Amino acid sequence: MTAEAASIRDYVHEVLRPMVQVDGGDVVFEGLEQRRVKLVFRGDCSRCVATGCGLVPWIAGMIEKRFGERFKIEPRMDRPYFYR
Amino acid sequence: MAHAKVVRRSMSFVDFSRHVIEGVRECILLGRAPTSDWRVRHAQYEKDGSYTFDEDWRPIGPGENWGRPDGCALFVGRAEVPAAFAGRAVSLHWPIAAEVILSVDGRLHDGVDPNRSLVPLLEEAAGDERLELSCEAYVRSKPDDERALATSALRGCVQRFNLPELVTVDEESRRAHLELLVLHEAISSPALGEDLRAFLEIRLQEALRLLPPFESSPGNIRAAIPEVRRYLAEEVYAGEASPFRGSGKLALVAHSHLDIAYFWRVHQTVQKNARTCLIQLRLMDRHPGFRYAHTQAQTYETLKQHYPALFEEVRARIAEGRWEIVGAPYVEPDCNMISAESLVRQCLYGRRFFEREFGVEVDNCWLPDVFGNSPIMPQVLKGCGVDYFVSNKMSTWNDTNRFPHNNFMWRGLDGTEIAACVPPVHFITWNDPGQLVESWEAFIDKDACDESLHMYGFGDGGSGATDEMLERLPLVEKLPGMPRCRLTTGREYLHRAFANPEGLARWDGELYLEMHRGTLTSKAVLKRENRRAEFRALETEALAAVAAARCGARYPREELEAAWKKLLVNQFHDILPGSNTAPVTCDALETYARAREEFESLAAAAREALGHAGGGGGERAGGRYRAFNALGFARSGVAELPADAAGAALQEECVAAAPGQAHCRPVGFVSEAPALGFAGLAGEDSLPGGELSVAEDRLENSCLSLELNSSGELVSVLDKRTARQVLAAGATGNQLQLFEDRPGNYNAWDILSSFEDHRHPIPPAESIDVVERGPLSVAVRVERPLGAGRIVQVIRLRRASARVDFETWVDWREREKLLKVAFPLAVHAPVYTTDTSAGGYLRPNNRNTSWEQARFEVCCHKWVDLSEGHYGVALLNDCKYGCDVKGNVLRLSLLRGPIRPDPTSDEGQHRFTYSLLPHAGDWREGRVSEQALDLNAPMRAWFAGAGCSEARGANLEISSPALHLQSLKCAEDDSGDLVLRLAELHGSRGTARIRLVPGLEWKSVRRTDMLERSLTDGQLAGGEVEADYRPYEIVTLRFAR
Repeated sequence: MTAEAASIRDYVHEVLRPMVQVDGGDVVFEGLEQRRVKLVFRGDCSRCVATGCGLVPWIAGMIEKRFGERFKIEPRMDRPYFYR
Repeated sequence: MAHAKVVRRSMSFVDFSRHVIEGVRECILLGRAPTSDWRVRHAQYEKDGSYTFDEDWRPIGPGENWGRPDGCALFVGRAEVPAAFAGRAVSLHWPIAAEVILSVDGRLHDGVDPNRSLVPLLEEAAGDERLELSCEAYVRSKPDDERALATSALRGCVQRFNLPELVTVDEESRRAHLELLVLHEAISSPALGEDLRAFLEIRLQEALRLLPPFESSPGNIRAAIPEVRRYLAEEVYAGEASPFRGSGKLALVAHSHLDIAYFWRVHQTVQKNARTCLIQLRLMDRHPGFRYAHTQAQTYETLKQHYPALFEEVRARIAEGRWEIVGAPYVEPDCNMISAESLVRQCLYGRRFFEREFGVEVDNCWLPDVFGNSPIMPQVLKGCGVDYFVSNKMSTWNDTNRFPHNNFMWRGLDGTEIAACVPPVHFITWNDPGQLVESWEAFIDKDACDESLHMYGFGDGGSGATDEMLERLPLVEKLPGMPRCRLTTGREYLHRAFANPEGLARWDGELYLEMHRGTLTSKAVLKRENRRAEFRALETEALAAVAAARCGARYPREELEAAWKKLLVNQFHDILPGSNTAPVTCDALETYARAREEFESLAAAAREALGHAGGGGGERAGGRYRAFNALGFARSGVAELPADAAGAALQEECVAAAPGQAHCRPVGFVSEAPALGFAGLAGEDSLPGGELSVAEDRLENSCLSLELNSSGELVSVLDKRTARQVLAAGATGNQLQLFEDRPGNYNAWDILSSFEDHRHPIPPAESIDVVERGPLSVAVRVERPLGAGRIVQVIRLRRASARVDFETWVDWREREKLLKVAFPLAVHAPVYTTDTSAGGYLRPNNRNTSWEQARFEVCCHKWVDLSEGHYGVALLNDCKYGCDVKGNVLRLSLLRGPIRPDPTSDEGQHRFTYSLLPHAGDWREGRVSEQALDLNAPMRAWFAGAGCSEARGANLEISSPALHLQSLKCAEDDSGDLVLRLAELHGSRGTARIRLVPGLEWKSVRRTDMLERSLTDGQLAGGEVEADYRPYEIVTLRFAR
C-alpha cells in the first residue's frame, strides 16, 4: 500500500468510521486505485437510501478537505443476509 | 384435482381509498409562503453540552445536502408573515427526517421531527410579523418510530434540505382528513370484527362518493368537504346511535420511550430528551386535558443542567399534576444482569432526586422495554417504596408462549408480592382504532379488572404524543365498536386497578422474556466492566464507611453517588445488554474508566484514614504489605501484589495474555483476612497443608486430581475428598463449543433455539506448558487457535482448594458465532440453581413443556450449580451472565459476535475467568456463594508503609453463614449512621447475631427499608444486634451512635 493510500485509510478508519458507526453503519477502506477510493459500506449504511447520494459525497468532501484533492469514491455495499 | 389459490391482484377499495384520502390531505395547507435566508453550521455536540463547529455559517438552499454522521446542524432563517395571512393562525411546515428544536426570536418554541411537520407559530397573525427562526437539528437515520411516509423517504445521516414554509391551515380539510383517516384505519384493521368493518367500509365508500372525482383540484375538494363531514358525523361518528357497541375500557397514558443510548450516544440523548419535553409542554398548552408521563431521573438531571428554562416549565407542570414522573429507577436499567444492590441504588438515587427536586414520591417502576426481570425485583422494589411494576415486554415480544397475565401480583424469590402490570400491547402506539380494539381484546385479565393500561406516544428516541393523537380521541369515542378510552396518569390507573388485589392471579418467580437471550452475552466487555464496577463500588463504600466510623473521616457521600451514577447509567437496557453501536460502547468504557478512577481514589483516601496508606520510600524497608477483605466473611487465600513487589511475593502467577506478551503477577498469601478487615501476608511456613503437583497433562492438590488431553480439555476430574469422578463417563470437561449464531435482524439481541444445529470444530492446542509450580498454585497454559483468532487459558489449581480456575484470554475474530464452555458431569438432578446476586434461584432441569423449552438460555450471576443428593458441581464466573443446563451438562456462554447494530461488536481481546467447583452437599454446604464472591472480589495487597496500624480484626461479624454482606455505607441523610445491608442467600430462616465495627458504642440499631427509613427498633446487647431473617430476605440495619 502506498503512503498516500495508507494516509487515506487511516483517516477513514480513525476519523470518519467512528462517526458513521454511531448510526449503526460502518465504512471500511478497501483500496486506492487510479485516484479512486474504494470503500465498503456495512451495517445500516449498506441498505440506507442516503448512502449513495448523501454519505458518499460527504465522505468525498471530507477527504478533499483533509488531503486537498477530490477523489472519486467507489462504494461497495456489503449487505448482511437479513437486509437482502 | 389441481388446486390453485385465488390471489386478488386488482386494487381493493382499502388500497384505492387511501389515495383518495391522501388527496384530501393535500388540501390542508391553504396559504403558503416560503421562509428565507437560511444558513447552516455543522457541529459536533460535545459531552459537556458545548459545540465544536466544523465550519462557519454558510447559506443553504432547497435541495442542498446537510447533515453529517455523529453530529448536528444549527440553522437560522427568517420568516415574513404575508399580509394575506392577517387574522389567521400561522404554522411552520417543514417535512424533515430529523429531530429539531425550534426557537423563534431566540426563545425555545417547539419541536419538529418526522412525525411533526406542522408547528403552530401564531394564533392570529397581524400579517406583518418578521420572525427569526433558529434550529438545533440532529439527523435520524434509525427512527424506529417514524410513521410518516413523507419523511421516511428523506432519512439518512446526510439529507436534502427542504425549505420550511409559513402556512395557514384549512381547518375543515384538516378535520375531514383525520376523520377519513381514522375511518380508513378502522376498516384496515383485522382487530375489528368483519361485520363492523363491512358496516364502516360501506360508509367510507358513501363518504368518498361525496367528493369530486379523484385528483380534482383542491378547490373542488374543499367545496365538497362540509358535506363529507356532515355525512361522517351522522353515519360514522354517531356515538350511541350506532348499532355496534364497543366493549371494554382503556386507561390511556401518554408516554415517550427514550433510550438513553442506542443508535445514538448518551450525550446526544440530552437533546432528544429536551426536544421531547418541549413538544409535550407545548401540547399541554394547546390541549388542557392532556397529561404526560416521563421516566428516568437521569433525563431530568440533564434537562436541568442544559435546558434550565424547560426544566422549570416541567417543574410547574408537575406541580399542576399534568406532567407525571413515572419510574423510580435512575435510568430504565437492564433487570437481568444488575445486582440487587445496583437495583437498590437505581431506586434510591432516582427517588431521592425526584423527592428533592419536585417533592414527588414515585411509587412505580416503569420499564416498558427491558429484556426480562429477575425474581429479586419484587423485594427490592417494595423495599424502595415502589409498589407497582410496569413492563410491556413479555406480552408483546415472547417468541414461544403467550404470557398469561396483564394485571397480576408478581411474587419474588423471597415471597414478596408487588402489583404488576404487563400491558397487552406495545408501548409505542398512536391511537389508531385498530390498536385500541386490539389492546382491549388482548387484555387477558378481564375477569379481575374492567380496564387495561394503554400507553400511547412515539418513542425509542423520544418524541411522545402528537396533536393528531389527541384529536383522534373524540373521534374514537364516537366510532362504533371502540372500547371506552380515558386519559389518565400511570399512578391513577395503577392505584385504581390494584385497589383490591385479592382476585388477581399470582406469577411466581422470574419474569423471563422469551427473546433477546443473546443480550446476556453480547458486548462481553460491558458485562466485565459492570461486574467489576459493582464490586469496586461496594468495596470503596465499605472502606469509606469503616473509616468514617472508626476514625471520624469525612464520608464522601456525594462523590460516591457521582461515581455510582456513572455505573447506573451504563446499566441502561440498551447499554449493558450490548444492543448498541460501537461509539456507545466506547463512551460506556470511558465512563467505566472514570468511575474506576473515582472509586479507587476514594478507596485510597479511606485506607489512608485507616492508617493503611502507602508509605514513602524511606519507610519501605520497615514497611509491610496489607490486604483488605471486602467480603462479609473471613477468608484465606491469595492476594495479588503490586507489580514492583516481587520481592515480597511467595510466587508469581501467569497471566492469561496474548502470545508473546505473557507476563506474571506477584502474589502472596493471607492466612486469615477477617470480614471487612485488614490482614498482612503470611510466610511460606504458614501455608495450608497438602502437596501440589503438575505436568502438562495433570494438575493435583489435596482436593482434586485433574487430567488434561491435548486440547486442554479435562478428561478426568477426580475429587479426592470423596473419591468421586466429577465428569460424566467418556466425556470431557472444559469443552469449548463454537456454534453458528445467526439470529437475523435482532442480531445483538437474540440467540435462536436452533443455535446447536451447526457447530464449528476448534483445533487442538498448539502448546500446553506448565507455568506455575507452587507453592501457592499449579497451572498449565494452553494455547489454541480459534477461527482467525486465538484462545489462551491458564488452568490453575490452588493449594488446598477444590476450585479450578480457567483464566482466559481470547483474541476474538468470529462474526455471528456463539462460544460456550461445557462441562458434562456425573451428576443427575431434576433442578439446577442460578445465582441472582441475592440468593440461589431454582430452575427445572427439563424441556418438558414449551415454557421450559423457551428457557434454553437463562441468566445467572456469579454461578450456576447442578447438585444431586449429597454432591454437586458449580460453574462460577467473574463476568458472564448467560448459561444453560441440559441434563447433566453445565454450560456458560462466553462470547458472541453480533453484526447489528454494531458490525464490529466484540471483535478484539477479551479476558474472563470461569471456575469449576465440585463440592460435597448442595451449593449451600459447598460454599459456592463464598467461592464465587472470592473469585469476583480477589484480595489485593498494597504497600502500607512502616507506620500502618496493626490489624484490628473484623469490622463485621455475622453469626449465620446464610446472611451475606450486600453493602455497608453511611446513611444518605449525612447523620453519620451506618447502613448495613445483608442478603439471606440460602433460603433459610433464623436469627443472626450481628456485630458491626466492634469496639464502637452503638446507641441504637433499627431495621429500615432500602431507602433507609426506619421500620422497627432492633435490640442491642453487648454491642451485638439480633436480627430475624426469612428465606432470601434482604435485611437493612441502621446503626446510630
